[in-house]
Amino acid sequence: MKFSRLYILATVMAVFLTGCASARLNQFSTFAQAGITYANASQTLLTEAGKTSINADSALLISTRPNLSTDQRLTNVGINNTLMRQRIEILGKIGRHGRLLGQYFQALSALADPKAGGSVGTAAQSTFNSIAKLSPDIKSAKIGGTSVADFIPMVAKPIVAAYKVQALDNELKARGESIAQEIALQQAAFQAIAKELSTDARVIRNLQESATNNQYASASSLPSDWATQRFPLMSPPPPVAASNAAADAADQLGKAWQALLANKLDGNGFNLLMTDISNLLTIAQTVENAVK
Amino acid sequence: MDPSKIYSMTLTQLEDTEVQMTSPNADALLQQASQAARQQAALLLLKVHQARIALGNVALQGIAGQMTANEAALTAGTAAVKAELATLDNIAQVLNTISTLVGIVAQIVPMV
Repeated sequence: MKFSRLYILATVMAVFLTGCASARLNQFSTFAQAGITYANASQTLLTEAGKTSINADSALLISTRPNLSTDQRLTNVGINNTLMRQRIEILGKIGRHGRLLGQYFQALSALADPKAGGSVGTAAQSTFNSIAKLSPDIKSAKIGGTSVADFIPMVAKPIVAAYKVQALDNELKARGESIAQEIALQQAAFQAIAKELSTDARVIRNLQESATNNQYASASSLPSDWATQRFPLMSPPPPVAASNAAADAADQLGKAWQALLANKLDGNGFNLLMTDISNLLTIAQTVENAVK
Repeated sequence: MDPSKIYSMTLTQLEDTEVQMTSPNADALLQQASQAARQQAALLLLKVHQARIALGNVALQGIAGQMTANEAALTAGTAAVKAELATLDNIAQVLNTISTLVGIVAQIVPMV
């Protein structure tokens, strides 16, 4: 009778703890996965921003070259080289920050993974089995209608989940605000990069269109692929469409992080976050293919 | 006016100017201009572009500087979370060790 009550109480506690802890772990896990996806996609955009910047710079140098003296060419190519190196170095620093943020989300994801720490339950079971070899009484012991052997993994699971939630919540308390600041910095960086990327893409497109127009206006015969070259110039360049995707995704990531901190991250918040991140992924792939 | 607004307006102006100066319309106009005017326009375009990149670099460097300053907190956070995961693994290791030890004892000590 006493064992039956204990069994019922333990079972109810186990189910309750598993339910609460699982829901919170799911929040962390989904957020961390979104964060990893954001970090990877934003790296792609950052790389393309660097390439687009250099391509625009080169296109400008080529287009102005016929109207410059040798001295002017040398002076200006030197200045532009310095500016481009600075730009790439800065983008590299922003990229490193994104990768560190990605590693942080990876660590959160690993701890929030429902399978993480599962070895504790297995090990507890194994320990019990070893002890049972010493004592047949333990091996055959029952709580309620369930043998102790079956009971161990059932109790170990919510304990492990509760431990993980506690560890993750402690991490939020320790670094919640500083991570929010890191995400805000990402957003600020991508807002600035978006403007530059958009301008660079429009400059490249303008120079390409002028070149195509001049080929048409020239007395010489048109290149055989002139129409093929002209065709893509009639639609907006992909980086213009991409301009705010990373900043928007960082904005949603920041809001989701604040909701996670307050334990108020709901399905709607996740949907908004995943929509923006999915949009960022699509655009990052489009830009990557366009630059190739 | 707020300095950040002045900066933002200047950068936007430079971006718009560069886009306009490279447009097919501007190119068509310059084709009709004198050689001297074309040289002047080419130099001016490069100066506008260089000013835009330099100003953009200053802004991005400001953000990147803050990011670099905060790197330690980010690395510490990652290490702390990984340590928690390692603790869980250690618990399993301790239990496994006990299990092995008990298994050995069971072979030596007669069963109860």
